[in-house]
Amino acid sequence: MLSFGNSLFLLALVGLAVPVILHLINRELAVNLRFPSIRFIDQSQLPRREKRKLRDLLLLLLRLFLFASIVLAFAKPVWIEPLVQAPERSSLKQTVYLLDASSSMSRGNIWRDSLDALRKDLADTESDEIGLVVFADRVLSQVPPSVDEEQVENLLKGLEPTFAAGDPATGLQSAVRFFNPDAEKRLVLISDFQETDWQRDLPGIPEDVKFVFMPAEIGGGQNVGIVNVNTIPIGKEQARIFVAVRNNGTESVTVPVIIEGGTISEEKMVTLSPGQTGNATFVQAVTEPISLTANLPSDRYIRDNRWHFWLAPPPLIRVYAFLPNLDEPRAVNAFYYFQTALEVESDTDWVRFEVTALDRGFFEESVIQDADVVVIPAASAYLRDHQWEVLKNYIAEGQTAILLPGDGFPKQFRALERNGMMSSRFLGLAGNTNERQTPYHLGSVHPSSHLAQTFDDVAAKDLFLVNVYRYVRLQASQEDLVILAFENGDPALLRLAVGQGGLIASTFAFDPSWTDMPLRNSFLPLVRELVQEGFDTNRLRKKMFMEEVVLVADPLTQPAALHREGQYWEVNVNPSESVMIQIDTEQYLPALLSQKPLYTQTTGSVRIDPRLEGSRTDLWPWLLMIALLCFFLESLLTGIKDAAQSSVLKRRDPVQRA
Amino acid sequence: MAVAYKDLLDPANLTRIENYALMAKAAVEGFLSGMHRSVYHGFGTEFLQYRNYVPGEDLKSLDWKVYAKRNELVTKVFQEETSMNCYFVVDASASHEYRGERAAVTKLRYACMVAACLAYLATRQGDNIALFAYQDSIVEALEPGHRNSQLLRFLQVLTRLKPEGQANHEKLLESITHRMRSRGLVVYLSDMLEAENILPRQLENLRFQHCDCLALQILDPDEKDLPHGYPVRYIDSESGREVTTFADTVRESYEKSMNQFLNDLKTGFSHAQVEYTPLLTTHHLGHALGQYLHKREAIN
Repeated sequence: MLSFGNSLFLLALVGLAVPVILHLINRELAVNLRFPSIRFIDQSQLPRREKRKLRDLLLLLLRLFLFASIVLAFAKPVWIEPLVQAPERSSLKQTVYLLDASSSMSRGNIWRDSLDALRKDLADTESDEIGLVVFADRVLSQVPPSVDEEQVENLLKGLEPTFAAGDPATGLQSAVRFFNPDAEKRLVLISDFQETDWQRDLPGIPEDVKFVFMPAEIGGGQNVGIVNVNTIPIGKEQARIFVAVRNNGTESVTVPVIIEGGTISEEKMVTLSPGQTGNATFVQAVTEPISLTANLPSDRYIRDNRWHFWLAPPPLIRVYAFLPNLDEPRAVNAFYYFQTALEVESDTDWVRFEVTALDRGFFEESVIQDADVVVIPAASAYLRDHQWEVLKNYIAEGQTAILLPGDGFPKQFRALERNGMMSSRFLGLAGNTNERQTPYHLGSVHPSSHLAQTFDDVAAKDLFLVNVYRYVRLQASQEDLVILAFENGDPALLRLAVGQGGLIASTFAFDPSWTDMPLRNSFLPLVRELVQEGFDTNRLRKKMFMEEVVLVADPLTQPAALHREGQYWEVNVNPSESVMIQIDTEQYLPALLSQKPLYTQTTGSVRIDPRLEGSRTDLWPWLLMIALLCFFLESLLTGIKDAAQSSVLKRRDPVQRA
Repeated sequence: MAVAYKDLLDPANLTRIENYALMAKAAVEGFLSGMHRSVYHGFGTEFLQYRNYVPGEDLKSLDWKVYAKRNELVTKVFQEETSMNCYFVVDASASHEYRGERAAVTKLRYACMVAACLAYLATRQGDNIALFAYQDSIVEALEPGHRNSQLLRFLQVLTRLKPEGQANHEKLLESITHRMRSRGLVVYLSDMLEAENILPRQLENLRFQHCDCLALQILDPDEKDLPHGYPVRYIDSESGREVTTFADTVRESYEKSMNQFLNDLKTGFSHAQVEYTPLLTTHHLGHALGQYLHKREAIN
């Protein structure tokens, strides 16, 4: 059926009357003629054109088509294929059951009770046709309305709640779409009406659909669930495990939290008020990657009582450094300082780095795409145009690169400007000798940067004692984030946003002629934090919820901790299903009905809500093509007509002829 | 194929000659050579040229000395010397800008061509020529003279004329009447539109100044029959007034009114004893030249 995105534009179709009226009242235009004397010339009525030429009518039709096509194109017409073609029966009664099969329906006896209620209603209903839609986070299975109730029964057999969180929107859409527009509609919703599921953005339901709510009795009782587990390294071989637990019940509880796996088994008690989330903290040695579970004692909802997680050090962060010329002492120095700072074994830092030098010819897309971070230490002058492009594309895909200036710094910053990677303005060099009596000092760290976590008040003091003899002056723009700034406000380190990633650009080289920073205590943490500045170490561990699309070969039937393709996956039940608050269906019903209906009965046609539409075909490109064709033909005809008319006028009009 | 002399006098052909002097010479010489006998040479006493004797000519004009020397019969031609002034009065109002599709020249251009030819002819006759061009007042005035340079000045004035403004016939005729102190011929060239009541009376007054008058009315053929077969917004060249009409529906009444106007003029001039000749811009110049010569002979 036909629908319009901007139906107000259709009002402009009234304008179609204008060319028609003009066509009807059009009289031949008088030719201006300067005449010696009009003394004897009387005024007369101009004759209406007696006979319309076929060409004029064609022109009128083409113009009407042209105007109508443009107006209709602006009205954004859409052809929607109705998904369900139910037979038209005026006295048809249809019932569609919408059954919630989200994970929360597995609580207690909710699932069994719900199926019993459905079957009872099925037996009692007087409807001619019965349909069923089962949903969780999407529509799981469905039976269109039919007289065959056995199909519904067959679908219900062996049906179990899934591990997914509920999202009734798609289920509602499917159920309503099943109804014949002329039928007497009855929609039975069977769910626990969990607040987290039903307070989403739901589609409106037509007013002629009669609702029947069958809220499951969720009962009271204790329900404590695990919300999240985080592992934070302590030193080199130990990690702290935080198990976040939430009390979804109505009474204060004290529950034991047990972590288990391999030889590990440890228990901590947690006391929680109703609605409170608390942490149980464990410290465990990490020798090799091990998958553990955090467990709670059984309660009304058992699926949130176990959480699968990994206790494993993150993989190496691969840092590729561009070192094109070994005869370039500044570049080699900078690379050496960088490599040493990153590869040093840290007692406190769990993150490990692997620095690889890249020769000139290896700075290509196929090589650097394996890097987690790319560093260009004082060697950007060696980058060719296409390599700048490679670097830009690499960063734009969400990666991080670090750029340290060398002797060719003007070329580097101009290349950044030219490639659209830096919106700050290059102003030149501040200071030009290391014999300068009063070196520049760093003055501030951006509080939201990664550096600020390490360089707090005390640690920052050493950083601020660093002498910088010269640096590249930049006028920072609003788009670029100044991570570290000099006392005078000039940027020292900037994070330049490039696509989805970031380029960290230093305004001074890590070289003794520019600064004494490599000799300072703060150099090592600075470099390591700098590498992590744009790099989310958490991305090395993937957390997923059940039913999310996971890149594993076999679909999961139970939550689990997996190791696939070098990644550690933690797949658990969505904690939103643990919430025990039920939405008020008495109040919810009018709210649901008051929303924009999925379709409205209009004069002779049914308009489907966009959210319910089947296959949509935008018609405006076709209309624009018709308009173009009409315009072409109209121009052609007008050209022919004008040529003919001008030859006639030239023959007739002496002034024009002159 | 021989070119008929009429073709030489066709405005469509003559208008290709931009220079009035050349045009006038071509027209007049062509006109005269087409006449069987030139009777307008030889009245004067100033020698002009030799010409081969044509049998039938008066033997007294033969130059016997030449015959004795060369054994050829030649006739001596003398320039006539008169004291007659020929006043050309040209209406250069905006209505003379019009050129219909059948005409090759505008009305003013046609009037100038006629004036140039007549002036050339007059000069050739030895008459003094003068020129007054007017619109709402006199825009060009050339006092009588008979030298060769007078004709050049005359033609230069014609070249300068541009059709503009409204014609004020009364004012013109009043102002030139007192300049005509000796006998002469007034050649009046105008479309005479909307002046059928004034002009005959005004031109009659010239007769009291011992001037004969030749009134040549220049009209475009379109003004006679209003041929436009399509709706036209007619804009009056002089007053700027407009009327939109479909000529087919008003042609009959127009022609009737126009004929009435021409008849009135004819009657008026007849009563005033003024020679009146209507000319269309498609007519060849022989009409005007013939009329002039006829008048000139009558004066003599």
